[in-house]
Amino acid sequence: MTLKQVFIIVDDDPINNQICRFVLTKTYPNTRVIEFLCPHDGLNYLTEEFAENEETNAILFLDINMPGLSGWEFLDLYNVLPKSLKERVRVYLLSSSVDERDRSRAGENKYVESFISKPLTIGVLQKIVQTKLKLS
Amino acid sequence: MFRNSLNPHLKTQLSAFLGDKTKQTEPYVNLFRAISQIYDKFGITGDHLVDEKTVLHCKTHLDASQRIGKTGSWEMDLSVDDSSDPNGLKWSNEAYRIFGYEPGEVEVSLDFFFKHIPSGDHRIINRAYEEAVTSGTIYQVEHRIIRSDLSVRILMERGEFLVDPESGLPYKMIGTVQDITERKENESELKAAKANLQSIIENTDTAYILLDVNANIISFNQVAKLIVMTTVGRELVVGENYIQLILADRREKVQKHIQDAISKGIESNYKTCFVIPNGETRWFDIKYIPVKGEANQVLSLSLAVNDITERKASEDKLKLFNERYELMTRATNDVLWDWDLVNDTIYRSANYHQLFGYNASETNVYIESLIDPIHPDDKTKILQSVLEKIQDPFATYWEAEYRIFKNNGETAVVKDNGYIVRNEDKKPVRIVGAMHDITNSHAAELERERITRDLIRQNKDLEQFAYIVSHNLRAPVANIRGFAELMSTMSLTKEELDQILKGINVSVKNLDGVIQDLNTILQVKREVNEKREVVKFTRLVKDILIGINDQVKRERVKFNLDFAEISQVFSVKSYLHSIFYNLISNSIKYKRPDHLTVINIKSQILENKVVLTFEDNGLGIDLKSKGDQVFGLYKRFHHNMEGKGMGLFMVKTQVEAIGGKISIESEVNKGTKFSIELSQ
Repeated sequence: MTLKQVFIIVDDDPINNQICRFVLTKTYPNTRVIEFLCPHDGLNYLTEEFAENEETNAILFLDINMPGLSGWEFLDLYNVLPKSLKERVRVYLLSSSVDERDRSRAGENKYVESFISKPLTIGVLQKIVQTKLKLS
Repeated sequence: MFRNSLNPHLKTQLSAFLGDKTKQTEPYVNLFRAISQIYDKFGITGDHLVDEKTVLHCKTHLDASQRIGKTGSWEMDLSVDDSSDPNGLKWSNEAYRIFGYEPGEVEVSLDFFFKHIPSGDHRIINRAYEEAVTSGTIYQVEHRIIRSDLSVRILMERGEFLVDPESGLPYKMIGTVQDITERKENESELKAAKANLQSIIENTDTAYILLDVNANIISFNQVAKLIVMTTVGRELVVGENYIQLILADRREKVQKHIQDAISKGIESNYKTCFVIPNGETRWFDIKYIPVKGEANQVLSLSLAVNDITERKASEDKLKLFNERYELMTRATNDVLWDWDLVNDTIYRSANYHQLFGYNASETNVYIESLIDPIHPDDKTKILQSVLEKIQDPFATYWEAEYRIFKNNGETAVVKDNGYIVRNEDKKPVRIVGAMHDITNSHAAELERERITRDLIRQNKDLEQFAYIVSHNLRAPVANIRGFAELMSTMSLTKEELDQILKGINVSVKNLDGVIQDLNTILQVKREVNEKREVVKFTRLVKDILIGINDQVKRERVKFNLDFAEISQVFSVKSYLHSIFYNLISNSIKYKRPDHLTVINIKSQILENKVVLTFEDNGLGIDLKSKGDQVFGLYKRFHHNMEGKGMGLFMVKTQVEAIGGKISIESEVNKGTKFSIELSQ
């Protein structure tokens, strides 16, 4: 069984997304990176394309402060997606926030693996992926 | 008739008596005595009898005298047996008149006389006659007659037998008759009055002692006797000197009062106390009342003594209560009130006038005074709450807060508490309460609440501000760090390095932008020292529209301006410019693409404040989910729009800097309405 791995980035800050892409593609050159500046577009991707490719697993980097739909609101909508779909996704909050409340709130959400303070670095990414491999 | 009625035994007695008498006295003595008695009485001497003319004169004189004295005379001939014989009885002119006749108008006889006697009095007359016969004294009787005019009179008769010196037997009785009706009536009235007075004096709690001018006791009542006995252990005795009864140490004082009363006619009184044998202290009020005669001379002295121990105790208690109550009303700002529900009267403490300006006496009656001053918006509520409480048989406490109008028209806020007093049937009879003016504390409380609310909001705003600032400051910093890490850990192509340097450049610009924003915000947030001036709304809008003329034309925006109610405001012009500009450009930016954009700007005066409203028909904001973030820094609600979320934050900051308030109403796809409230 060959599982395909994708990275999804949902963040309105294009600079951040540029950094993430660099870090991801440099570390895992063969992995697909999909980025969404608008969180609604990210959700649509999950329910449509991603839902159809049942062999794909995803690591999702989600920003908190976004216009229109905040990371928390995104998670509320994510909550209602099918269980089988959510089993293929691991959500990480990636925020520039240093507020302790955001961190603890992330800990309370059952879909959030952990809270990552920006920027995404290779070291952090490797840890995530290792955890991911151990689990699978 | 008399003689007929005399029994033989009496006849013998009469003869014996008269005989005895005549033996000792001269003949005619009795006749003479009788006549001289009559004549003496009217000041006529026997000498005048000598001459006929004088006799006639005397007769006239006698008649007049009798008339004046209302005394008639009569003569009964004992030798006439027939009681209907007119020779048996002779009346003087006045006697006729006493019986209600003109002199000589009718023939008199014994029968005629008895016709005028009420049957009940026959016996009295007979007995008196019998007595006269048996005891040998004069005939004297009081009896009633019914006069010819049917009026009842009381007569007094006196008579004496004339004895024949030869036979020693009485042959005539002569006598006087006097109408004593008035005197009798006076006497009986006096008797009744005396009896009443006596009864009053004996049945009162007041002790009375009557003293003569030498302070000797004339009389006293039982209460006096008792009090003197219990207080000084002495018996009151008529004739004794009152001063001697007084305890030595008080004698001087009592003497002075008595002296003042007797010699100067001064009425006086004082209170004094005695320790009675059982150890109790009893208080007495002693009054000295001089009794004066017609010439204002003091005849005697009346002492009235009242035991006032209980009264004094309750008076002292009452005085204490009153004093306490008076002090309490002074100590408190509460208006104390007592509403008599049965008679519907209201009593209020004096400070009601002080606090609310209503005259206490004007408003002390009727429920209206209670209700009239209440603020119309509170009236029904308050009346209902009172009614509810008084109708509930187990409710004893009523409490309410409401507004009332003072007499000067000002509104006061009061806290009112009442205790409901009920009778044994649980019916409410009165409510006693206290009304507290809490206007100031109420206003202070409202102010405190407002300040607290403002502080909480400001604190929340500041927290949010700090959160956003740290977040937005951190975002570019994080990016720079990210790039730096990439550069230090990766081998990068020239192309990749260019991209990274570009990214760093943008991040640094963003960082600078945030710092610039912060500077702007903090400048506004600082105390506004900018010059205030008259800002005309029409002019302000015109200036803004010139600046965005192309945009307005391109987006086809229609403006409705209404500054008729108030056309200008005294404020900081640059802030108002920024506020108007941001709101207008927001309305254009967030218009619905398929609609003609209409922006209504209006000024009004509401409750002494200038209220500006900006209303559009644009996209609107879902306030249910975003309401608390509308005015937040770097908050954006529309994804595909440019803007960094500074506009509304700045509007709010500037509105608040010039002492105003902003609020929003909005509905998605309907439009948005901002209201700004400024003080004039």
